[in-house]
Amino acid sequence: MTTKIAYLLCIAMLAVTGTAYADKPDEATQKAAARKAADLCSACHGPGGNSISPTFPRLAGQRQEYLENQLRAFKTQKRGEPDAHDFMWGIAASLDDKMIGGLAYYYAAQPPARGIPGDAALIARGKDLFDKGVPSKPLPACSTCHGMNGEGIGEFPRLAGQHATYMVKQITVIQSLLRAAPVMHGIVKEMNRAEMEAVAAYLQSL
Amino acid sequence: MVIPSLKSMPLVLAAIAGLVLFPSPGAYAVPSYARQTGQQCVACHVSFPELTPYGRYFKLTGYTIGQRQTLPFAVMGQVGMTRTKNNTGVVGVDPDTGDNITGDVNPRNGGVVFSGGSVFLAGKATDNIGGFVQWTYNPLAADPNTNEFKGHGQLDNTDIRITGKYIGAGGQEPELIYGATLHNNPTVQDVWNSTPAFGFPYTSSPLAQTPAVSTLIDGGLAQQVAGLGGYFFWKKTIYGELSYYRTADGVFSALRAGQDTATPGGVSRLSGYNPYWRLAYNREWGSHSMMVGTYGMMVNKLPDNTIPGTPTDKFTDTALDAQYQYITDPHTFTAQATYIHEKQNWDASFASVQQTGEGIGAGATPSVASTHLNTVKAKATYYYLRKYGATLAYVSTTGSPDAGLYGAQTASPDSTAYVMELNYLPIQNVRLMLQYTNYTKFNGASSNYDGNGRNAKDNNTLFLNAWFAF
Repeated sequence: MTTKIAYLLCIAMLAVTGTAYADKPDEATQKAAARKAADLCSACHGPGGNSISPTFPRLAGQRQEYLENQLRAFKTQKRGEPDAHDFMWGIAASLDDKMIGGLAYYYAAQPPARGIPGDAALIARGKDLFDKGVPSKPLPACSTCHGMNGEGIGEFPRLAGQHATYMVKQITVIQSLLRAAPVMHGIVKEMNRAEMEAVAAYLQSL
Repeated sequence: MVIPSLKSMPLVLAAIAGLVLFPSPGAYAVPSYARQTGQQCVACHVSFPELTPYGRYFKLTGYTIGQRQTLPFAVMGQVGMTRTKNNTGVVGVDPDTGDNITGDVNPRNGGVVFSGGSVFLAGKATDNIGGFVQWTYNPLAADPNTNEFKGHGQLDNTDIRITGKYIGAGGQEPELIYGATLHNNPTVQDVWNSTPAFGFPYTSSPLAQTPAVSTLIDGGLAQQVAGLGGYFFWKKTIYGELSYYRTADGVFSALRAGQDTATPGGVSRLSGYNPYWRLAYNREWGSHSMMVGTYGMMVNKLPDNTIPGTPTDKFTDTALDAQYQYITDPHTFTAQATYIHEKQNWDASFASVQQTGEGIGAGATPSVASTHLNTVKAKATYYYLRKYGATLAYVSTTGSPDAGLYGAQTASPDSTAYVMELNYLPIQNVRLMLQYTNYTKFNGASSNYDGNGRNAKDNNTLFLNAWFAF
C-alpha cells in the first residue's frame, strides 16, 4: 500500500515539475560551468564531482533536475540543514540561473565513479530494504522513486555510488526536519539508524 | 608595576560593543573571509586557526574565493586569567645594592586581563590577489625604560599573495596552483599547522613565564623580516616553496611597523637575502588527510641589530614535520608534529669573544664556535561537534650546553613542557579555553634554574581565556 502511495507521489511530482528542467545550456554557459566546476567546486566535490571526502556528496551522474533544485534551494536558503548553511549558502549565492543550469548539466553528464564495496551482509539487508521497503512501517521501496538501481528518476536524486556517510546524514536531517524534503519526510519518519546504514551501504556499493 | 586595567577598558568596551553592534549575519567566525565566501568557519577551520583541506585550498589560491568586500575588516580580542603556580620570585636586581628584588613574577596573577586585540584587513583584492594584514594592540607590552605595562600597537602577521591555477584542456580540477607571497614571519605563509607560525599552542598567556631560548624559525624572526617567495601545489600532492627573507627595512619597513628597532637586541637584523625552503607530500583519502614534509632556512644574522656592517653569525634550521587530520561530523581528530634542528655557527660572535672577551654590541657571547638546538613539538586534538575540544601537546627545545650563551647556572638552553587544553566554542566566533602548561625543564634545569631556588614547575601556568573573532 505504502509503495503504491509513494509511486503515486512520484508520478504526481514528476507530472508537476518534470518538464520545467533539464534544458541543455548554450555552449558558452557549458564552458563557463565546466570552468567553475574545475576551478571552485572541485575543491570539495572532487574532479568531475567524484568527491573523496564523505562530507561532500558525489555529484557525477546526478540528476540534472535534482542538482538545479538543490542549487536553487541553497541560493534561496530554503535548504537549511547545518552543512547547507555552513558550506553551500555562500557558494550558491554567487551563482546566477544560467550558471546553476550549466553546473547541473555539467555534473549530470559526468561519469560517476565506481561504488565503494562494504560489508556483504549489511549490503544485502540494504538491498532488500531498497527494493521492498519495510512493510511494517510507512517505508516503501526506495527504488520506486530513486530507480531500480538507484540511478534517480526526474528530480529524484541518484543515490547509486553516493557516500554512505552523506546519505545517512541526509536521511537524519530530513527526518529531523532540518532539511525540507516534503516527499521524504513521511517516508523516513520511522526509519531507524540500522536501516539507514544498511540502505546507505548498499547504495554506496553500486 | 602600573597595570593598565583602566586604560584597556575602552578597548574591552569597544570589543563588547562591536559584538553587540556588529554581529555578523549568520554568525560568521572570521567575518572578512566568511563574508567574502558566504561560508562558515567550519568550512576552512577545524577550529581557528587550524585549517581543513578546503581552508588550505582557500589560502593557497590567495584568499580569493568569493565576492570582494567593500570593507574587508575583522576584529579579534582576548580576555584571560593567568595563574602562575609559584608567583613569588626574583624580578630584578637593585642597582644600588646589587641585591635581588623579590616580587610577583606575574603581576596580574589570577586577575582578569584584556590581553590584546587585533584588527584584520583580510580578503581578496582581485580574482588573483588577496591576503591579510593584522594589526595588534598589546596592552601588556613592557616599557623598556620603566618595565611597566604600556599599551603598544604593531603590525602582526601579514601575508599578501598573487596566485594562479593551471587547469588543462577538459581538466576537472586544478593540476597546479602557484603563487607568490610577501609576508613577515617565516611559515606564516604555510598551510599546514605543523609549522611554527600557526602551530599549537594557538594562543598562550602573555603573562606567563616562557622559556628564553627558541630556534630562529620558531618565532625568532616574526614580524621583523620581509619574506618574498614563490610556491606551487601540484595535484594536491606535492607542495614546494622557495622564499627569501631580508630585514624588513627600507621599502619593506611597514612589515615590521611598531617593532623596537632602536634598542640593541630589540629585533633581529639579517644580512642580505636568506633562503627558506619547503617541500611537502600531501594525501587526502575519505575523511582523512595527511602531510609529511620538510622546511628550513639559512640565516646570516648580525649580532647586534643597531650595528650594521659587522660580520654575521650563521644559523641553519632544518625541520621535518607531519600532520594528520580526520574530519567528520561529529568527530574530528587532528595531530601535528615537527622537529627542528638548528645549527648555530657563531662566526662573528665567537671571534669577537676570543679577541675582546665580549660579543659584538648586545650580541651573543658564545664560548664555543658552534652550537645547536633541537625543537620538538607534537600535539593531538579531538573535537566533538567542532564545539568541545581537548588537546594534549609536548613542546621541547634542547641543545648543546654553553655557559657563554645560557649563563653559568645551567649553561643549558633546555626547556620542556606538556600542554593540556580544553576548548568550548559556544558559537563559532568564540573560543573559551582552559590551558595548563606543565614544565619539566625550564631554561636549562628542572630545579634551581635561576640560582635563586626557582624550579621549572614553579612556572606551571593555568590560563583561562576567552578568544573572540568577529
